[in-house]
Amino acid sequence: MKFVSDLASSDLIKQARTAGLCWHIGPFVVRMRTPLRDVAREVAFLYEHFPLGSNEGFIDFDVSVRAKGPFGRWISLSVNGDVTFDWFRRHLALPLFEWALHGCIFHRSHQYFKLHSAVVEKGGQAVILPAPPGSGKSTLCAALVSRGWRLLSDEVAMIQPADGWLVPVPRPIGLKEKSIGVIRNFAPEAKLGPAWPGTPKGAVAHMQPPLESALRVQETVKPAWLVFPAYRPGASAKLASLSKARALLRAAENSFNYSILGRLGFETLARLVQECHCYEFEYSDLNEAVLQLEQLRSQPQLVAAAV
Amino acid sequence: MLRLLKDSATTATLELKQWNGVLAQAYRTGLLPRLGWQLLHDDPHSRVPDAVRASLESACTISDHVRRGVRWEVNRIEHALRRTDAQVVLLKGAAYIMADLPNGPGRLVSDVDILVPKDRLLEVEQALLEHGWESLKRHEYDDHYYRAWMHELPPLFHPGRRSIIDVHHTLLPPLGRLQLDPAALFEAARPLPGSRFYVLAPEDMILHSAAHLFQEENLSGGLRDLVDLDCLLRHFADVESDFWSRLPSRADQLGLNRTLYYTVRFLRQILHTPMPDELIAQADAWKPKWPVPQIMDRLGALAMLPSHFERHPQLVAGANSLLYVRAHWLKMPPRLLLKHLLSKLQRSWFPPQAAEA
Repeated sequence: MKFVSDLASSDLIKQARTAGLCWHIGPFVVRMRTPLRDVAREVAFLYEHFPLGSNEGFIDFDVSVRAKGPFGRWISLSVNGDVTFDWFRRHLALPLFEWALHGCIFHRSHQYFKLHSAVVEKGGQAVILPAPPGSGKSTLCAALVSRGWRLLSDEVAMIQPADGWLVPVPRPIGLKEKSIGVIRNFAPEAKLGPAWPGTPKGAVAHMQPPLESALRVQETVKPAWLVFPAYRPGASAKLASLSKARALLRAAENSFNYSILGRLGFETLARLVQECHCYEFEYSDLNEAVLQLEQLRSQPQLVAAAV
Repeated sequence: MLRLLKDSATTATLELKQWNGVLAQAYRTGLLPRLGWQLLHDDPHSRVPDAVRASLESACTISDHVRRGVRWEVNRIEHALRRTDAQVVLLKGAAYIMADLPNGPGRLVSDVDILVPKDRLLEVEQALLEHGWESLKRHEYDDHYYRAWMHELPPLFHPGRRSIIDVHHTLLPPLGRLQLDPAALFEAARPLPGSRFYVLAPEDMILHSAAHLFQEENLSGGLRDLVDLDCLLRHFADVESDFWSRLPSRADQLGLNRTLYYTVRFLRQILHTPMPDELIAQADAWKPKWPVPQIMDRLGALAMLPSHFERHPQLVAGANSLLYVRAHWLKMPPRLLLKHLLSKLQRSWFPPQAAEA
């Protein structure tokens, strides 16, 4: 099997410029076509551990990034032939590429039931961390992933309606503004791409999915815990038990396609809360937060007694 | 993509990477769910590769969701209108779904369109406003434009469900070049079993869809409408007696001969819909003088076919502009048209403060 990192830089750039660079992200095949060498290199860095795909096969998301305007200072980005972002400043190419893929995965692909959440796994057990944007879940996810948890996703839990198992779709973890510095401190060994200033969400940088997460991308896993995280400055890390009914409603609010799937959405979510232990989780310090979740995993009976 | 729509067995001849283009075009023309339904549920001859299947199923999931939404919306409208006995006719997508017509599954519907008699219009509007709908066009001019000149009220928006109803009193702009008497439509309308709603008679349904396609602005959404027309024609030809002769006589009666001409022409050219020679000859007799048919052929193809959009986007944009002008030309007499366009221009240069009710 060949990986993105196996391609020499010149080949990579040439491929992106001509037929397009294809790779697999979990169940999806993505193709990027761009004549812009820096964009090709940045994207290839973030996805270097992912297996290459074929231009002869079916492509789920075909993303094209082109320069526009005098001196090519702007770009336009299209997905499957439709312009998604137009006349954006050139330096935003990478964040926009990632957001375009978010859009594809979150708002299409209804063969999965999807929650807006991070998903990590250790020892064969997975934690789903649903939370709205801006709640700090990506930072928490990056911290966990830097402490040995496998990354399934930092943004979306993809659940197979047939059996309730989670399908990994690991991608670069998007860190915003202050989180960038926090994670650099917390995990100096983590591989981060450059910080891109001036996006609508402030400065954005991306953490590369670790090698192991990328290599184990085919391993589906059963969810064990549903934990709703909330960052509260000054709060000590605390898990509080959540009733199944409340957990279901809150999860539905954090879902991409609960109503689109209709009855199947309800049944999938109901099975999820039935089979998982559900908690609310308040924290401020990342080390404490990671410890608390580690304890949840290794000594669940203690945690259950405490809440 | 067109070949697939016409014949599901074509699936066997496609290479995997050709599916990329097909799905992209289908998505862009709003036909992905329709294609999904046809290939996955309707037709035993189709063979879809596993890699593609998930995308088609996802699209079908969306149209199932839309169908549920439409059923519920119609239920809520019925509830809102329970105290009036006005004859309410469902139109377009909502009608196809509620009447269980074969183009219902896979149909994407953005608003519910209804037709009510003009003298019951205010009563119906009032009932809807009392049940949570709000009028969308807030500016005075737009309101006047709709009520005085158009065939429909300003759209009604329901903030809770985020849905929209278009209430029509006739099917074509009353001041336009094509005059249509709605009384005939109401008379021929058929009740939906178990409901207070009606749907248009089959010929009227075809002619309305065609009139909407060939007179309104966005022919660029037109491929979807052509697929509707193809599906409905085949269905009605099967289940209604004498349908092929009823259709042209109804077109003549309603003054929609030209519309039927375009329908027949485009359906034959683009979707190869099977039709008897008599119909073709009859429709051909109503064609406009040279060079209009040839120009419309070209403009229509540019506006509707997704491959043109991919290959020559500027030409397509040009065609759309011309068709836009044409649609306005058909909508209202020249004097009013000028006044309307100037007013629109003025408001786009000097946007008024939104009047908050």
